[in-house]
Amino acid sequence: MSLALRQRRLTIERLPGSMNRMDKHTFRIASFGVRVGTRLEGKTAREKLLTTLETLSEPGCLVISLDGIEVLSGSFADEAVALSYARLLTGEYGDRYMIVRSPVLEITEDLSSKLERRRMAMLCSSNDGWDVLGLLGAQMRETLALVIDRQETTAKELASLLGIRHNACLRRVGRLAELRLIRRKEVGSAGPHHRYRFFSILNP
Amino acid sequence: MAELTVKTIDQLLDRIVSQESAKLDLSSVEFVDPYALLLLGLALRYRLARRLPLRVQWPRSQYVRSWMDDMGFAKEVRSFRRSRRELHLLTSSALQPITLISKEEDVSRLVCAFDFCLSKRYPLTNESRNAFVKVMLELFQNIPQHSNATGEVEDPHGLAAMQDYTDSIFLGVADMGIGLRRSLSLRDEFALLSDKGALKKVVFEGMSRFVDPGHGGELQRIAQLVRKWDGLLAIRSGEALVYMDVEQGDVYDAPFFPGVQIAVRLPRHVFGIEAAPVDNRASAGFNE
Repeated sequence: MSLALRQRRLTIERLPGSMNRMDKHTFRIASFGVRVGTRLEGKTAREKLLTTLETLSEPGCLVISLDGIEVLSGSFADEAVALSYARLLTGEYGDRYMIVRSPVLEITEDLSSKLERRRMAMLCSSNDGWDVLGLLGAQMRETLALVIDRQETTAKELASLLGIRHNACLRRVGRLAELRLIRRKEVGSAGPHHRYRFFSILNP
Repeated sequence: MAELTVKTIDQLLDRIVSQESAKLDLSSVEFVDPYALLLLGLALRYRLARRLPLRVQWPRSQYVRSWMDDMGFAKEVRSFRRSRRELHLLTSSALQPITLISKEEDVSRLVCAFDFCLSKRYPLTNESRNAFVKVMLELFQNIPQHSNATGEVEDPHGLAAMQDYTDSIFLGVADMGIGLRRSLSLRDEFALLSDKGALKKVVFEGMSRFVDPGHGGELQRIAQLVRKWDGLLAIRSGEALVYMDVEQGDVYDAPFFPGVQIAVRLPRHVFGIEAAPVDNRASAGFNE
């Protein structure tokens, strides 16, 4: 089957975009200073960040904005962002997500290093597009890119586009969902198995 | 000894802290860098706290004494004093005098003050300025966060000072806390490390006293950054010293001294400084 035909067929399977409507809110790190900072300051920021996250309706996405930031130290980044993200990954905040918004990627270098040390990965949108901060393998990035590109999709569609087995694809998207890089929503079941659709948490 | 610097201060340190010493002759000293100045001040305090008198012959050079005084050395060591005549005659090029670091709440403000001093004297590029601010944020906050992690230090605090030279900017940061070996020993797996072993773990492997992987790695990143910039980095703790510059980099034995002392010297071109200092007085001092 040609790629064009495959993509057309897969398009028919798409569900209405309303399924991925998310409550979005922007949390500005610059409100704590343009050059941040210490762990102590990061802890204060984390407390406010998590309180804001809690106020979002589900599904919700908190955009951590680095607009106006000149310096983001590793210590502040770890305390404010990486530790908040670690809490999010435990599932205690339900169907909520976090992404970083930074005008330039250079500012996020130390945050990326801290996420890597914690074996976590986080989406970052910048003026040049998007990137992943922290640790994520090439195959996972490829899968993530497809989900972002298509905005919503299924494992079947992705497996077909990636040219990999369905089970292998399920493992990849399952992991991406665990890392909160994409949103997974159950849409029914097929026999004993759940059926999911996968959504990008980044807008086009 | 003609110069008290990151390369020579260890030769003196042994003599300062040794119980047998009764006299210290610094009269021929004609140059002191901020790292050596901080270490000298701390070593004299260390001795004083043990009630071991030491007669110091201060440098004969008026420029050196003037610079030491302008750097606030007299506040650290009471026996040091510039003469009244020198006070009237000389203005040194002191950039950022010795500054006390004790509370984490103060760190950002102090870093801003250091940055302000440097950017007032030179037109810096934003990129270099921000990178240096990041270095200072991490080095300064290490003092309240780690130097008294065991709670055994009576007066936990650190000192920092900064000076500019014709070829570089020099930052010294020092404390007399528990040091890296004792700090790492709070983790069972690092309990038996030597000073050298602890220094290697922290600087080359990015370890810290916390098991949590988000902690640590800052000194490792600073070491990588300094190397990338062709700068000099010295980190001293207990009986070990990491020294790296453009030509070499290794861990060395050093005479014992408590706490952690750090020197960072970065070439001026890193900051985009090619021209003469903005403040003309800066070029008048011996430290140029």
